[in-house]
Amino acid sequence: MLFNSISYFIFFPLVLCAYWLSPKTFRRALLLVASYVFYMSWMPVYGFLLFCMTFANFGIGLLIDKRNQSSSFFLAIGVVLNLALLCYYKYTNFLIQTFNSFLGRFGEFQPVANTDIILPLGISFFVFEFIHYLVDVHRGGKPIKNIIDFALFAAFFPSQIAGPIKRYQDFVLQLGQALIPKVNEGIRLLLQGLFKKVALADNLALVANAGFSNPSALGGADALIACLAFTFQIYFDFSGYTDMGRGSAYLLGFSLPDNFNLPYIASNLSDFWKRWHISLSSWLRDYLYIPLGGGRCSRTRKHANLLLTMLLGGLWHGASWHFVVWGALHGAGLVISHEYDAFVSKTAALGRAHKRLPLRICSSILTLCFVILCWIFFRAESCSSAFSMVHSLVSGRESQIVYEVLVQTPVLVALVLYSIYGTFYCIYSKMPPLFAGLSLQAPSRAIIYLSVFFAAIAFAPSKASPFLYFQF
Amino acid sequence: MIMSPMKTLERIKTSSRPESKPSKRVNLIRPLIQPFFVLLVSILLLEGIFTVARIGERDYLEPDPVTGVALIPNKRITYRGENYSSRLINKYGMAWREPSLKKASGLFRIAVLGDSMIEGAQVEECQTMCHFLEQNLNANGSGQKFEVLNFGVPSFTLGQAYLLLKEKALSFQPDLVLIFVRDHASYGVTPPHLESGFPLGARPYFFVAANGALYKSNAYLMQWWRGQEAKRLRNLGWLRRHSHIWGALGAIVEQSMNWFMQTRANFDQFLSKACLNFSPKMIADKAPAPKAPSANPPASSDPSALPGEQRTTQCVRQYFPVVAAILREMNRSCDQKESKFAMIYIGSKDEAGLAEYDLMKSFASDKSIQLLDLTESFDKAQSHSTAPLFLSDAHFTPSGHEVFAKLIANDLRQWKWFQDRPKTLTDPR
Repeated sequence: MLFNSISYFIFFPLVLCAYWLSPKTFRRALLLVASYVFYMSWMPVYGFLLFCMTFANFGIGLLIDKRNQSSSFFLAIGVVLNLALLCYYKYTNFLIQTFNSFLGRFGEFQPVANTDIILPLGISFFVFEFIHYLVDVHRGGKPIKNIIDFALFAAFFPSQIAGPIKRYQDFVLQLGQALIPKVNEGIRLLLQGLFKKVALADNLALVANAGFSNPSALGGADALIACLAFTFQIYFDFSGYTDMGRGSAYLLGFSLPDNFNLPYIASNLSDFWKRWHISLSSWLRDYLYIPLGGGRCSRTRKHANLLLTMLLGGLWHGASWHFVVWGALHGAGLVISHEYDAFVSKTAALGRAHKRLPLRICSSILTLCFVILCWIFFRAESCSSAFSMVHSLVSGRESQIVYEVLVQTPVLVALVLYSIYGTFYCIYSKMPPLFAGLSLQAPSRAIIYLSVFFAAIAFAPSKASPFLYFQF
Repeated sequence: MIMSPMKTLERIKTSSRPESKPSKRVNLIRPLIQPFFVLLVSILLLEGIFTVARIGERDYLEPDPVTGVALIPNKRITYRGENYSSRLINKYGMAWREPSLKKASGLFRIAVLGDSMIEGAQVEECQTMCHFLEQNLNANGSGQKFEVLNFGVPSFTLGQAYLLLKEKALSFQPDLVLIFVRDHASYGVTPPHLESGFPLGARPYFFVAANGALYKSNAYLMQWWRGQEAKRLRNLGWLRRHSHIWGALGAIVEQSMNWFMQTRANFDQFLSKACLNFSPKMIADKAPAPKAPSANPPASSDPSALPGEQRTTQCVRQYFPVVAAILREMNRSCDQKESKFAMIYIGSKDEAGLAEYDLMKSFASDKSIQLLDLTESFDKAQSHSTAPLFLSDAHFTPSGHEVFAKLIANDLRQWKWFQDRPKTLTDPR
């Protein structure tokens, strides 16, 4: 079930009504059932997989909590089990293809056939949540003792399929509190996410797809439009999903962590990763980079840790070499960025210059350019296709394939509208006294919500594209 | 006690101030004013935004008391589907640029009638067959200026095209009238099915009397016109013509209905599967016994009551006389206005299509009407074309329109009358 589908617009209000009308004691169970319905609406059999994984991790968590000599062993079993499942579903075909292409270089041989495994939705996200749970319990955290609470943590539908990757401590804390729905904020986030997804991301997808389907035929301007379109498509798509998830959670009285904080205005690459997919980057930091030694080791080791973390982060995004290249580029960029920061901090004049606005703007533009360049490898079908796009970017050719699609979609109007809303909301949240006199009554607010909902759907292209992060 | 003058003044001021008792009227009105104002602003904003973004511009047909269906004059059509197109319907209700009613001297004017294949569904005006045909004819360097007028209306049958010819097309003084006759044209002149609704069900019905004369019956059209759907469409005429919000709402409702139907079908399928898994015997018990196939189709005057192939074959036999009579009347109407009449035909290869093809050829030769038969040449062009000529909804792609126009232009150039005609056209009529 997609957040932007009619099914969800029927499912969610029903769940919401049932949830708030039911007695408090039944609410968690009801939410759990709703979460499984949500998950199984796509492929019922994978509901069973989720259930088994939940049950296994719950048991392992309790075993680790016994704090005897074998708790590390149980942790290892839990982590290996989760990673094995992730690898089986996500990387089997990738390994077969790599194996085939590697052996194919040495002469003729019978290639191994691909398997017809279908990737369970959101497995990358809930596997990371399980690993975080087991590690934190092993580090001394209190395990979840109630199976329903644990199952709800794993299957909570607003964050089930594409995150944000939750921390169990925060979630359990909320389960113990009297939940109060944040109605206005919830609806605002739901509508904001819907507009981002259907009016912006889905229309930008048409533009990006037109370019990336045949990158070698593009001229420089067309290639640039396609790259920019994908840059904003992925942001609006993913942050739109997160907004809708967070909005839904708010209405149910829960709060989910924020995943994005204006990533494209980041002043450097480290800053970018503090603003982009925050829950993943913090997970990678806490459960991969720091256990590898983090920054508290030699310079070479620190850079190697950084590179390895980003490589694995790239591979997490998709079982393909171009994702690995994307991760490697970000890793290399981060190493250079750290080295440059160290150099700047040693030179006082340079440090002062970097604090001034013109250089900060230059730094942000440079970071954005690098991020866009990296997105090419992320979006392209293969590495050769990505290089083709880079070649088109610098070529002197002329084409209007992508430009024509751009002007045919209503995306430019949608972008202007979103910019106006963004500016207004920024002023509103930074300077509330300015709007002190402006109080809207409930019916007026309802009219505005309905108008935005209607506008978002009206802007949607006839064919909706799935959320990009569903494939990860 | 003596009070200070200032205090006294303050007291007077306070006492003289009327008590601020909230009036009931104000209390009732205030909660209504803000939502009303917000609603008004929202509507205006949405209309403005949708106009700029060209959203809600897919509603372009309106009921017409004569032809049943007409394009809404001065309405912009923006289609974002498999293909993108944005076109303006002119004040005469043609999906075409605005032509002058009076023909310029020395201009050779061709009026093309037909359905959405001629109108050019899903393509830009400069990608339609009519545009390519005009371009092709003007590019031959003869010095003769050609103008092609597009009178295509989606869902139009031959009978409706005949009415449009008499009502509108001939008033533009065309030198040549081309009618695109689709394969299985005979099925298009069967009695309309009112339940198929607008625009398919809303059309007049033609029949041939025993003496061979063509008659028009408005009974079906009037029955539809008095029905709920027609009333609704007429009542909402202003909104359908002017409101982008209404257009967008219509598209959303249409998509939602499709989703509901699809979901229902999926659910039924799921239920039947689940039931079969649960107890095949139970289903078998409940299922009605299969009927023995009847050897002969039911004797009915309604061809739609017949299955598949028989339906269209019988249609051809039963209704080709109506097709022929309509074409004959079109030819006569053109003759009266000193316009030449010709038919564009692409036949199909199924049994009914082949039967109709033979009838069409013999009719054209009997009545000496020029038949631009593209059946073979279009097949050949399609097999040689690298680009697809049809969209998934069976309309032409821009390449399809171009090929279609090229074939028509070639056939026109080989036609004796067309070769001679331009030389005499330099004199104003």
